[in-house]
Amino acid sequence: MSDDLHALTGAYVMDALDEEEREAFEAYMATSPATAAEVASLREAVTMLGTATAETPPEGLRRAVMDAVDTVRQDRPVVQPISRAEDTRAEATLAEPVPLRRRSSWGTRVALAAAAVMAVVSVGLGSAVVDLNQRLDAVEGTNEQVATLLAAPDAHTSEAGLPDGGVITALISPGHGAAIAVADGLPELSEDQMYALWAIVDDLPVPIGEVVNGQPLSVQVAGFDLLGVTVEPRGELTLPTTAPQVTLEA
Amino acid sequence: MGFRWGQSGRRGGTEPPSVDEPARRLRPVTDVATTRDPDELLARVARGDRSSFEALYDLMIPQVFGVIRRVLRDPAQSEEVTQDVMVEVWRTATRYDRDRGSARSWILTMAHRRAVDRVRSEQASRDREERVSHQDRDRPFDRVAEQVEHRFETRQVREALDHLTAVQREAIELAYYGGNTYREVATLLDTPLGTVKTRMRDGLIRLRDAMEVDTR
Repeated sequence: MSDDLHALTGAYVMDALDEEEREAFEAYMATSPATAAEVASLREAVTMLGTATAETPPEGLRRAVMDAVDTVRQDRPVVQPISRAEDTRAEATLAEPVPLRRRSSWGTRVALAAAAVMAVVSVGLGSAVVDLNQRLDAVEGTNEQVATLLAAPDAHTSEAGLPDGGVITALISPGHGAAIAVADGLPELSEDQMYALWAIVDDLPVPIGEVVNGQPLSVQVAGFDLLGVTVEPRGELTLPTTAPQVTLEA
Repeated sequence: MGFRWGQSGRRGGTEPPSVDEPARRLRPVTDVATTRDPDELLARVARGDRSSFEALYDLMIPQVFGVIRRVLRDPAQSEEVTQDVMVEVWRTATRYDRDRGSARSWILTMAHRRAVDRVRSEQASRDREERVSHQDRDRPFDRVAEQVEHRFETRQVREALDHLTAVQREAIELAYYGGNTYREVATLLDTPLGTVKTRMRDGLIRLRDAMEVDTR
């Protein structure tokens, strides 16, 4: 039986199985790394067949799609524990080395978190944040998303002061690997310096972004343990160059 | 507290940073789409980046529409399904995992699947109507034979297809462009199911291997 199913890889990637067979095949594929690997490789061949038929669509389609997209909320990403993610990846062993799972979730949902933090901040920090409404307006379609994070059963807020003044506040949901952080009252730095936020996973810092007073930052890093703020030379963040000014536990 | 700074820190972003890059503030929400790499664009779309979605759309739409139109033929239906697919790309970009295949492949897979689903659901309702009215149905082979004409325009594909035997090619055309199941293909070709399965699989393996040689 399994040989029979494996022989369907070609039909499967061309969507040439009926519903029932497709389901049976997919169930089988989940148990057979060799089958999954063959499917992945044949898919790229089929993609070439698709590429060969390129045709310009009618005018107006682009506009219709963009309009539609404005009303559609994106699905939430699938967040898996690292170990499980790597198990499943092993099935589809392809040419590429196995990169970090968390890469895909980093920085997602920025808009969501931005709006969420604004909501939180408006309660938590009150007058500290200016232009709240204006910035909320700038963030699109986020009400549900705000609710999602706020409704996370493990969501908690955490706050810490920096040695030279200023406070960083975060709403954190460890289960979602998500947080939103905002700073208030950070002293000015010299032109060539900035505050940077990092999420720490297994002792490794993942850069989140520049911390600016009153500007929310979103964190989407599966399994992060800590958030930390450092002072960095202005520029793209890769690794911290200084010790953390402050940390918040997830 | 475990807040050590590792030398080999793994970044959450994508490419390694260029050291010479002028100071660039990492900002939430906005990210300018400057790449034409579909994988990277799709990753940005997953973060809600609208301008990257527009860039991805422009890059992929001829292929998406082309596949759907090939399968469905009808321009109005093709447009409708194309729109659904592109909105689905936006909606589910968060679920895309680039370790499982290219963005191009992910998107075209979705496009083909939706087109085929449409063909089959329409065929199912047409079959029902026809059973009710006792009319003779179209002979499917006529429809398919017509669809198979003018299939493989590009040189690259034509060359790759040269690696196939005539029967492999026929089976692949009927399945991929005709939107037929392998059982339907077996009926159309009056050939045993096992043979058809094998032709499809072996044919795609040859195509795959031919492409690998090409790009080497």
